[in-house]
Amino acid sequence: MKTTTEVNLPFYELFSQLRRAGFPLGICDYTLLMEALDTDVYSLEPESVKQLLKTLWVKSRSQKQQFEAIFDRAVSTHTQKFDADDDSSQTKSDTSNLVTESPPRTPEQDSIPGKPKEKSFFFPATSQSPVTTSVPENCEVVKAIKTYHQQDLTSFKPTVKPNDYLPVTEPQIVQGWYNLKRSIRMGTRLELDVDATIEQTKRQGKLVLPVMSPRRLKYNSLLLLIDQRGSMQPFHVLSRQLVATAQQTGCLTSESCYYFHNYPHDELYCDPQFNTEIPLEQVLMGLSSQHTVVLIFSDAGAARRDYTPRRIGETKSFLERLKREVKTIVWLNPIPESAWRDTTAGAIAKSKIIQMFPANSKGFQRAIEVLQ
Amino acid sequence: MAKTLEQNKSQLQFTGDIKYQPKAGEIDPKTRETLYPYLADVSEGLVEAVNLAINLKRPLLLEGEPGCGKTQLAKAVAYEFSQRYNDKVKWPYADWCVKSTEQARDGLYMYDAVRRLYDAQLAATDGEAKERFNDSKHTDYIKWGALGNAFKDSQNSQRTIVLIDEIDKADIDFPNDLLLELEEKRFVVRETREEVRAKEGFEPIIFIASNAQIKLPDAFLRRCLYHYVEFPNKENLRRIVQARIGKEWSPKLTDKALDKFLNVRNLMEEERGEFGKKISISELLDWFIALDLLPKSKREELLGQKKIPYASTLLKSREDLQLIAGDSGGEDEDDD
Repeated sequence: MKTTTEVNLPFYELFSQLRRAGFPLGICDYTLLMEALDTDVYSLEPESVKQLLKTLWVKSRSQKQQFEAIFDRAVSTHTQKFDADDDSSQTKSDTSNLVTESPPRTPEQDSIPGKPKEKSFFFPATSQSPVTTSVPENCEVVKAIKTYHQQDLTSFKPTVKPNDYLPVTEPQIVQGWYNLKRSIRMGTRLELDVDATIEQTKRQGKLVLPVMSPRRLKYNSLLLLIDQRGSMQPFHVLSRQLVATAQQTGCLTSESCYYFHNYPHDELYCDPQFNTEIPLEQVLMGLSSQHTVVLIFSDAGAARRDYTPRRIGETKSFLERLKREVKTIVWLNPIPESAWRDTTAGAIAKSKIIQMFPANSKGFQRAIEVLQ
Repeated sequence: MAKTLEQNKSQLQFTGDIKYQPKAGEIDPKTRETLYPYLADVSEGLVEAVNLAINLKRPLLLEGEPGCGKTQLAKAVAYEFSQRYNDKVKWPYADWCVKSTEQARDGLYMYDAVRRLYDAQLAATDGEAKERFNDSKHTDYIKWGALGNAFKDSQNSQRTIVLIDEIDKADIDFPNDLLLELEEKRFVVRETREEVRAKEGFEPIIFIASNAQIKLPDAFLRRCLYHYVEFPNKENLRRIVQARIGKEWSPKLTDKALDKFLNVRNLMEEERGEFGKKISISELLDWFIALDLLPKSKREELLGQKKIPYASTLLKSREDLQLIAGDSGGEDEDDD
């Protein structure tokens, strides 16, 4: 590698723009690009470069769309700049401009990744005006929970104030779901159980039959009940995240997530738009009581700061009924614990039927521990 | 053969050219499978991605709608390599269809511990059992899996093509358990502590297909190159259909059938959104093959009607049928 003083790192600007947009790219991804440029599989035409970068740095379909937007913007902003610098009388489209204006390439230049001048032709390392990428959904949750003076809302670094209430982040949720999956042995007995076989041989004095045991399989059965609309409106982003991550990690099958409004009762809904109703009976029928764990996500009236005895009663009887059918229930409340006092939420939390946790990282972690 | 490989080891290149693909209906002499040509250039950037994977020795992860030909790619690459580099002798190829209960180790090797246990008992009286039992390499107890075999082949200077199919069917730990094997191209047989390491320059060429049912872990994704196989446009669909059923159909009739198909697909997309279940290329081909069995005049007559002939090859659920039934009023020519 060359010394980097004054050397423009090719595609560095694009690389950091992608990073800012949340692509999980690291140094190794960047060096992989260098290796890839060495292989001569791709030419340095913009379209071909785009293909290459997609193959290397994009890892899902949604990322692909995001990448294309960022790439095209980067190309076009630079082309405009280029036009302004150089008043060649070309009025062509962005790509054709890039193609025609690229300096004549020698075969030697093509294959050497370290030729900074040529690459920087597309993407100068000098900073351009920051591209406004779509704001990660997390921000909206933060805003909803706490309006604090300007700060970097895109990253959840621990703030100076230890008492800041921030919602659980996506990676933390994912980690939680992973921990929730327990492994149990089930299915056909395929594996030799060494310990049991030794034990049996010891007892009988000789080997009769080896002891087999089923394989370890990850298993869990999670039921999500989510409060939707009304006072939960600001937290829809967070509830979507809960559902999406649970599905991605394989914790949640599509038919074990139900919605309700205000408090859960005999009728639940299969979709967040409340289109399809489903009686609680039917939901309970499909559960296996020894394994099912339930997570309820609702503010329980804490957002409006009201205290409704009827609501408390209804909720309690629902929980008691549900409790008979499942292994554990926890309640995740997006409103900070300090705001539960003297509200319906406080009464439910105090009722000892279930445990209620705030939806910050610690609360979520504890909720998962209880579910385990 | 080893010599030709030696010469070509750094020059393996996939062109995706139709002339290196099998003729439609060709029979594989070994497996008796019927072969069809694969049009790699239909998906933009796919050929380059394959070559990059070969050059960088990284696995290529393919995602796309079910039935868009992810699985067929690996075979197509193997077929081309047989034609170009191997004097038409079959290029080593292995596939590993992942099942929901499978573990990463199963693709490397299986160890028959029970047999060894019995042999240990019998060793005193049975000569064969004793021989097996005393073999320091445990040859008779280890059964290599697809990936394990590919590593073994690599030690014999063969770059085997391996397909790990439907990786998203397995548990989430599965991809994580393959990290070392994919990154450092080696693994250890736990029972014998034998280390199997791929020979430099002859690393297996690995393709991984996924339907994106679960999100694969980041650590795994980082080690893969990625290609999303988009649904082809009408022109490319026509080429795919032609490659499969030959040129017997008139362009006009093919056009009519494709329009009918695309109309159904667009309806599904409108109804279920971009990520919902839609009819795929494999269903399209089934449908064409069904129609192809008919005499020509009958075929034309059926395609002229409003009703979709052989709808059961395309529509697989009650909702599908309702969706199409609800639309049959405006189902005339719907050119896009």
